[in-house]
Amino acid sequence: MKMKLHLTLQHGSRESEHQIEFAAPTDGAGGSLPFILDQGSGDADWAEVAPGVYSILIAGRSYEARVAAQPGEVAGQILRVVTVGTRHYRVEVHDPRRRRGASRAAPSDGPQEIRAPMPGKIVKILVSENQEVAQGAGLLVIEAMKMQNELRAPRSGRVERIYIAEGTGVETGSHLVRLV
Amino acid sequence: MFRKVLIANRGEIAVRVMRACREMGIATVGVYSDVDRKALHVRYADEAYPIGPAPSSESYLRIDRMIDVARRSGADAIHPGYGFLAENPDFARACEDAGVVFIGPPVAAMELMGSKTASRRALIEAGLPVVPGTDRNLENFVDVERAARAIGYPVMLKASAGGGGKGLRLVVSPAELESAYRNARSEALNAFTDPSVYIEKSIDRPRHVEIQILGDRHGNLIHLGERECSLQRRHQKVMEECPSPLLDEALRQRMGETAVRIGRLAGYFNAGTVEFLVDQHRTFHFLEMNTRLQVEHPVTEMVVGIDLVKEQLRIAAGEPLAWRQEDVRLRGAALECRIYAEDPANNFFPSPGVIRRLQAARGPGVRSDSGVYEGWTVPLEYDPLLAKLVVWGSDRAEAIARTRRALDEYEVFGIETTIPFFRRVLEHPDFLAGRIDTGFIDRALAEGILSEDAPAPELERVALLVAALNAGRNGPARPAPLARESAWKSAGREALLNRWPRA
Repeated sequence: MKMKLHLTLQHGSRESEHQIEFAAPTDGAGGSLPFILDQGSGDADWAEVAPGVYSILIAGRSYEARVAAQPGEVAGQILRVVTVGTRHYRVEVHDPRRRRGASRAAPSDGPQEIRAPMPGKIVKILVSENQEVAQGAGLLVIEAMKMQNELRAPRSGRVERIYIAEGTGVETGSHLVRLV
Repeated sequence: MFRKVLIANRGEIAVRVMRACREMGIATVGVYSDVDRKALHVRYADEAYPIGPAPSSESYLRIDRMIDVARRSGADAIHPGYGFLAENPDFARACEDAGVVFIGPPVAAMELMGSKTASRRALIEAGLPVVPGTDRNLENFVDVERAARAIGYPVMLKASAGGGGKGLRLVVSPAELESAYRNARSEALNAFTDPSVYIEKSIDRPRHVEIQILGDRHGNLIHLGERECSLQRRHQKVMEECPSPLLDEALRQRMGETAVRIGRLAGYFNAGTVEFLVDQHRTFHFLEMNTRLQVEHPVTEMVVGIDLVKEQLRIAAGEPLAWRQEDVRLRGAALECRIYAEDPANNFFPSPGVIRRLQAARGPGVRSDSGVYEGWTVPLEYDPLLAKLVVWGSDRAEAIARTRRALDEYEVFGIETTIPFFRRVLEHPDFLAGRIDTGFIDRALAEGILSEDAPAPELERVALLVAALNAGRNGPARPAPLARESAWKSAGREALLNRWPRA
């Protein structure tokens, strides 16, 4: 059966869209896999050597890739984190057949609630409400694990709400900032 | 020799000390706080006892509880590791009073070297080189200001009871002095229960070079060469090496002899480290002495070929040193990377949580001293050191190439670690040339050493293929569910953390 998938690849701040076509494997453990990726085609030999661990051979080059589920997957979405060598790629697989309730909202769209990842104390707030921030901009300084740590914006956007004040003690999951 | 030793510590150092004990046929006793019940050192020990709730002040710093466990278990000696009670003279005294041998230096040496001002004063009187500065505690702002003016800016404001890179404030101009003084005093009071401060001249681009000394109770005191520990972030060491790329044999000899003189001045025995700052003119100045085993001791072990913990045990048991100074040879080079549970892409934010996968590096010349395992939850309450990757090579270039290879093999999933950061450091031309000083890391970070990787289309192609293959099957290969961890809880935690994967 011919598979034709649309994929979104994300690595660091880069995101790109791709198309892949291949014949769905009949042998679950591995085999030969001719494919068409975007404008080019190729031949891979694949083998699942351990659960979620793939050995891929292309033109004699040997690669090892490890797959994990990506947290935050919503119904209808297929998200994978693929580690190749020392790089982590986040891949969203769009199967044209799986339209039911598919939400295309990747975490980079839509409002984002930024919460405290651990208990601590807010020692400094670096932004104000309605401020535009770039990805990586410092939002606040939280004291945790005996050190002061700067929490940064996971993406660019506007600070819609600041839920805490300097001096506030927070627990894991406490709302800190709403980014839109 | 001791029959049974209590290790009054946790994490990687507790395991490391227990390994030495095992090799010598000594039974090991471990202690654990409430969050450490499943810790590696508890699993490794022959006996283990609970010592209280998670906060250190209620567990690993409780002298009474340690002594109590020593009594109940019948331990005849206590190894304090590093940090916690390792440099606490009250603890050493309490051990003595309880008839348990404290594996370390005499109490008087700990007291002298534990006060930075008292140790400076003693060295100044003996004509030994110290970092220019005051030799008294400064009691009020007027004295601080006068001293700063006399020494000349920039100055370092330091806590007298401090150490290990904590309780420091750099003051570049007189305008900053007052607030720096107030902050330094309150930090010192909170961290060391002693607000006393003193001042040192801030040396331009210093290199941190320390000498390992080792002495028995019969008057033999030798040095085992140096370690360079200039790679620091916020005054905390992150990478260390032996030997120092700066030292030649002559300078090594001078620094080593000075360190031994300092040890003798303190009446020292057992293992200790004398720390120096070396300026751009290759002049060295005493910084402080650590009266305990250091985190980075493995690089010395690998180059000198001596097991320092075993030597500590033998010395404490009254045996004479098996070496004289002329027997000590440095062979090859070793590099240590401290693998911390911190996210370098997120300003080194602590990254506690469950370690979903852990595969340490292996192969020739690789040593991994770890305090964690796959499935372990890194707790919030303690220093986030997971493991030390220590690599030996026949020279510095091989040690570096081997460390790169080892870092590529080291897999840690589920939490972020400083491994990607070390890879970058090992590519930096100044590091490769040995042109380092204590400001190197902060400068490299400011210059963007953690910038993104260039795209790698070949790897991207593989990632897309594998994602497509895996998506077409029944689902992703989820890691085996961890015993007693609720899937709701771990999913909730991951959603809260909401991080992008890191390169």
